[in-house]
Amino acid sequence: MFRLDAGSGVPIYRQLMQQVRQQVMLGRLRPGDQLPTVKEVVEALSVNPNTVAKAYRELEHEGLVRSRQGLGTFVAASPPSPPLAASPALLASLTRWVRKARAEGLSADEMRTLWAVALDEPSDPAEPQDGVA
Amino acid sequence: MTWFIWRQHRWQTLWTLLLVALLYGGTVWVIARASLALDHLDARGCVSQAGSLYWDGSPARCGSLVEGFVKQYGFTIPVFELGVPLLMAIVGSFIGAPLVAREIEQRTQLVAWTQSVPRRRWYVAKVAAVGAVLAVAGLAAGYAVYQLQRPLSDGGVTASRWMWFYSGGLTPAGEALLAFALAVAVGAWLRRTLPAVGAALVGFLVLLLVTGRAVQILTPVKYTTGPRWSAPDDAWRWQADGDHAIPYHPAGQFWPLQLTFLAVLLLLAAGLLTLGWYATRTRAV
Amino acid sequence: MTSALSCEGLGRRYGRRTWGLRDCTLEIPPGRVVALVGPNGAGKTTLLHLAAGLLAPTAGAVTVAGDVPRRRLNQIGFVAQDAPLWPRLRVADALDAGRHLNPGWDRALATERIRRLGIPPRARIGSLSGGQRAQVALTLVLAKRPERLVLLDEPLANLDPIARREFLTHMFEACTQTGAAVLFSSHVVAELERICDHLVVVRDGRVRLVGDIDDLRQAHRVVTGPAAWPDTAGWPVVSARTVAGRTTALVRSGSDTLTGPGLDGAEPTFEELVLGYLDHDVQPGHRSEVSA
Repeated sequence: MFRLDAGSGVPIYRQLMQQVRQQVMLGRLRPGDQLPTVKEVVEALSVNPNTVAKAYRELEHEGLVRSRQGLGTFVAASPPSPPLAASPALLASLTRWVRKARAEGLSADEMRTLWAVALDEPSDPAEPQDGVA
Repeated sequence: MTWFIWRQHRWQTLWTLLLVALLYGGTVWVIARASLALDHLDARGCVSQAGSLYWDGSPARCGSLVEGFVKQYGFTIPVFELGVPLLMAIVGSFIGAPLVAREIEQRTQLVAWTQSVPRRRWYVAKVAAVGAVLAVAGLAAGYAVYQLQRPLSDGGVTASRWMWFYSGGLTPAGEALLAFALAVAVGAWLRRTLPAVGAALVGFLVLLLVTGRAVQILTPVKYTTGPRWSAPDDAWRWQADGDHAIPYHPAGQFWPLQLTFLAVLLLLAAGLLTLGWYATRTRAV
Repeated sequence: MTSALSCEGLGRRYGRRTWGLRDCTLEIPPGRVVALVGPNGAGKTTLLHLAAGLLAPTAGAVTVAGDVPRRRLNQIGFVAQDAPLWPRLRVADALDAGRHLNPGWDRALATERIRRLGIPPRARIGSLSGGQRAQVALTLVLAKRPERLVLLDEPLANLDPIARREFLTHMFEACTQTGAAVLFSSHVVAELERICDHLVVVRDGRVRLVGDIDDLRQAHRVVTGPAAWPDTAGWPVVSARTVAGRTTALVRSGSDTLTGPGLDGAEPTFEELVLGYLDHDVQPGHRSEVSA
């Protein structure tokens, strides 16, 4: 379920966290679902187990997942980040934006650059999805 | 550790034992042939009651027969006198030089010394195991050569066992160990096998001559007395008999001197192995 | 919990004047996977040899789990650069050697791993490819089951990408089980990020940077600005390069130092961080000496 982007410059544990968040937001991971074990992730990605453990630990700190001793890590019953289904308008507006950008001839990379610039706006320290729209 | 030493050194061990077996076979063969020839001479009445060939005053027909015997077996003295110490030097050097140096050349010391066996134990165990094999081989060679002495002196080729001082009895074991220790130490210092073999061979020769001479000079001697001024046949003369007193070692000193010489060689070997350990500890990585 | 590896003012001199490593002070907690990065000849191998007990320190001290390395030999695994092994031994003999020389030897792991890698046990080591020999050496280390520290000198150099993955996965698994820390050297920066969580950068025989990678990234910024700015600002500049009139510098930052006219700061990527500390081409007038 995880993919790593070596060139992104984003720390791996944050990439893992983001992907879990996305899966939860998109409803692919539901409350109570089990995340892959650290060992499974290590085998799949040959990534440092400490990094995976750190990502899970941080996610647990955020309240998004809960680890149960000896059983594994599970998506929390009531994840704190708003499920994406609750704000379909955001996704819709983003889709519109992408369509428009594509029409103007922007490549995917260029869009990502714009996206990153928008995200780095210092005035807005809130959740990433607020940066667009 | 024992298994590992055997696995690494089994061919060296087998070669050494094979060489010594060949030497042993050679001496046994010479002894058998010489004994047969002596029996032959005895049948013709050319051997005295005391068990040695007549020289002076023996029946005239014996003269050429005795000369023939001496001629036939005269070769054994230089062959064994030089050959055995040389064999010990070669075997000791070729086995000792690679002990540390080859590991360094292959960089396998980095593997050997990062297993659970400490470096000191690695060194001590290896030196002890390989040294024990060499000691056994040396003792066997020394025993074989020493056995040669009886038929040859009976046959008049040699009058004394001092001829075998460097090649018979206990000495070959000490020589093998000295050459081995020297090669181990030089190998560890030079970190190269082949130069260490060469240096060890040369160094061994020097050490052997110096220590042999030192033992001869520093141990108690007797002096020839007038009016004949000549040492007994079975003595170790320092110089040719003349018309004045010369020092000599009587036959009875053979074993004490062998022991002394062995002790000196072993002490030297121990000192060299200590130097080898020092180099292994400080220079080998 | 005692550090897996601890160095205090550690130094090693070769000959009379040349220091292979100098003033090295660092702590590696248990269970960390540490990248030891530096150019060739920077002192990586010297540090690894000191930690493995192969070299005695000229200055300072090194301890593994609180004791000198030579008394922890059975708890330290080490593979030297290019994975040397006795060429005349057969693969099975090398494994037997491991079994006889190590009390905690995991025989099943060793034979199973060699079998799975398709290395013929009867083959002489001298006839194996570099990659296969490296795999035998790595098998020796894994089967030794070192509980405290695994030291690997350029272990991935001879392995193809699939073999790297396979080995890394095994190494991680083994270390998760035993809690051993892994310290491995590399001068290839790419792919270290996913392998390591800790970083040691050495250059010219000195340790330039030590720490948890995420912490280190947060403690640095890559700042781009007009060509002259580092002269005017008081920030500790690690290294700087000027390209086309703009200077890009790696700086150590507090939380609020990164404001200024025309400046643009961002958290460095792993590569920017490492390369910043390895960079020799510091512009004249800029200090590059920032010791960790």
